[in-house]
Amino acid sequence: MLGLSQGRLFARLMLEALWNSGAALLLGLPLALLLTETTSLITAKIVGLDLLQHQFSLYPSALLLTVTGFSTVQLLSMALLSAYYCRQTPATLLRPPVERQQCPRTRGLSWLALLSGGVLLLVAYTGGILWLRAFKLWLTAVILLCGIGGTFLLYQGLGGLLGRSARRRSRQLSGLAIFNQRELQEHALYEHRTLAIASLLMLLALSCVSFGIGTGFGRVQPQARSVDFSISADEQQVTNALAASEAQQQIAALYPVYLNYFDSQGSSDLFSWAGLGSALRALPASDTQQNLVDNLANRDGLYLIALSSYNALCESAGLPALTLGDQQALLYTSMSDSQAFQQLLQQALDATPSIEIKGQSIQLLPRLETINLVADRAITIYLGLIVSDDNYRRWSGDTNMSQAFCWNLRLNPRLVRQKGLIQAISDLQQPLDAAGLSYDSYLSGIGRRLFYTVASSYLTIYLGILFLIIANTLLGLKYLQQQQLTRRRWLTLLLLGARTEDLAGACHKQILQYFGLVLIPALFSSLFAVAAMFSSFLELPAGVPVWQVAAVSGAALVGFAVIEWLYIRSIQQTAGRQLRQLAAADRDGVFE
Amino acid sequence: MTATRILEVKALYKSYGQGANRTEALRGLSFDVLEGEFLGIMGASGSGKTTLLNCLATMLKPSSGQILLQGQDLTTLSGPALADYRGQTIGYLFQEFELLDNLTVRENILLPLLLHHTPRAEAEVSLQTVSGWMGLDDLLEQFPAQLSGGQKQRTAAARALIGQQSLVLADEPTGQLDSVTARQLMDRLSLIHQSAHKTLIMVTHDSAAASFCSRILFIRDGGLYHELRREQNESRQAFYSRIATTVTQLGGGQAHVL
Repeated sequence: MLGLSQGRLFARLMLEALWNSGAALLLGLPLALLLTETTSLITAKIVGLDLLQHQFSLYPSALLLTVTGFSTVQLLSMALLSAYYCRQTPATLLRPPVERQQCPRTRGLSWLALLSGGVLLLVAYTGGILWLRAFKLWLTAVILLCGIGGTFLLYQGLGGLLGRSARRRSRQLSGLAIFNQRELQEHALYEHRTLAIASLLMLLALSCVSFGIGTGFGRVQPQARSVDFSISADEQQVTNALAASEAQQQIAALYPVYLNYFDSQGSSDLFSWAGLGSALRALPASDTQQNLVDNLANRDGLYLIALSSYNALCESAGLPALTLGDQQALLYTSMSDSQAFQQLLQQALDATPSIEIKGQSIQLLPRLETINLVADRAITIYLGLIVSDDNYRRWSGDTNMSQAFCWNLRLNPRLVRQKGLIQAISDLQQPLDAAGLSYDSYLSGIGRRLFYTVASSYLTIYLGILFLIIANTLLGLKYLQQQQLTRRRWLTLLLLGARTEDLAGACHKQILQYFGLVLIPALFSSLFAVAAMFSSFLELPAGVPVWQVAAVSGAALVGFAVIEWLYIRSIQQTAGRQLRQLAAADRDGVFE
Repeated sequence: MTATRILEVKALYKSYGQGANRTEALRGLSFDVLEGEFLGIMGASGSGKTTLLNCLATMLKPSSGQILLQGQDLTTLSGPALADYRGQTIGYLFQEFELLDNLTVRENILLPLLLHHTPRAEAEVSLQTVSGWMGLDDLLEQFPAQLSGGQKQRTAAARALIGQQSLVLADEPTGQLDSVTARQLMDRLSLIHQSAHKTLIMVTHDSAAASFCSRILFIRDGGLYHELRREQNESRQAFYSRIATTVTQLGGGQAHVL
């Protein structure tokens, strides 16, 4: 109106956005660096690294990408907002925002939206539990679309339902209760997209936290430390590398691991899992059982592990040695992440089934072995057989037991206690590196596990918390904006004789109902989401008691409830403050 | 029979701003209102008539002076006593209706009673009465957005009249209405005033609306300037002529109107 051209106005707005972005980055980046470094130091401390060895690293490219990404998003959103305002006439912009006038939506349309939303959500819930495990992209997309579409339609139809309820109850409710009911209906009518988005964000938050806890249990479950080093070299190379007396003092045990693949090349005369397959088929049908039976039918061979190697492993882990007859074997798996898989195998072994190798019937003892065979857990043996050394020589082709898969090394426990595990491992790495040997250490396993834990557990929990904060902020801001927009209503109520404390009480109740409108469907949907996750791609690892998961989940739920309560309380306090300010000023002509 | 004094306004002052920016909106205004009276307050824009009404309605706190309603000083009210006064003693009819857009006509009208916990059955009977007075029986389930300006103002009037108020205040009730609708509203208000013996104080700049009153106070520059009383047998048209003449003379800046 004062003659500033649209172009210059736009340029000023963009400049302001740029300035704000710069200020936010200047404040935010050092804070973010401080937080990540603190996290790194805590992680290093937990795994036993010397804090002095921790190195600070900062990648300029990462910094540049963060700054570019943040500024681009800021500028883009400001450009879109400015474009919207540039299209408005000065008269429209000068007019103060008006309260939205309630106009009942066609009742039929509301019910249609509500019903179709309910049906779509039902499809999504059922689909999530029954079909998600198929891991088909199109099916996942359909389930996702049904869930999102259903939530949006549900909230679109909710306004009609609330209106009907308000109309029915308006003859019994008190004045402020009617007002609250109508306000809630209005939120559902005009803010149904916001409510749906907030509800989906809450659902995402709950699902992410559940997923994070689930995977966290799988990854951070302490695994028995049986081996400190697995060195891929022959005996001569290993003994040469560790010949120095200093290195010798650090070693408690050094033994070869005889592990070999027995390949029948499809001949059932040479090898057959049939006995184990029959024992598995006799068990109650399940997906895991079917997968295992199918897998056995397609396997032409198996890994053989020499009993002497396995006993050396048991001994270094402080476990008793095993004995096996010529006609006996022990089944081995290192699939420790799957509780159902291990339970199934154990149940089948309880029937002491027999398998055939080179025409000889071998009885499987009713005990499943699962101790880590090598230092690096990245090597996973689906199914193996621990056999006597004689049978190993006979079947593996290594008749002299001269071809060890690797050499396992166990550190001296006294030194580990003195120096700490990480330092002790680091010390022994030096002679091995000097000899140019290839090896895996328990430390690299920890690193890998930590990476998995951070990637799949902490990150999802962090994302969950982030979604929770976004959803709550969105809801809180929308409510307070609406309250500011409808302040004349509150003033009218004051002028009609409503007491300030009654209004504050009604306002608190309204906020609780408003958040409930989002939280209840999100909680309900999250039950199905978690059930779908655990029935498809998430499984508790063997050995994790259900009560432990339930306790952590319960604690997470309590944490969620506390965050929600704090948020609701802070919004209630802000709204109450606004209301009291309004009441205090209502005799100063604020209504004029 | 002598009518009792329901309202006494004594040496009322109201100023806005401070120092050099200080503006005196009311300058020592004093007058009385009798029970059952239909008092009009007229004056040019900025004369202080709305400030006066807002002081009576407790929407503004006067700088000094007293407003005694049935002997109680309104300027000292606060907290629950203020809320009770607003909800139970006065009814207020706003120029811009101030209906709650998200409530139906029924809910809007019932609100003052329900806020003060009037028994439901009693409130419903009062609703029937005022909706009958204002011709709103068929509109009770509508939302304000579905109503015309006249219907909205009739709803606001029903809300102002539903309780057992001693005093009904109206601020330019016809300000947002066309002449036909304004006339219909004034007919209804006049009828209610006569049949229900309510005391009404109305601020208006519309001479036609003012002609429905029994007495008119003219305000200029925050002070009482002139007073017109409708004679016992005087027709509304004749009273209107006298009001119009006074308004014209006031506009012309004459010192003495009579």
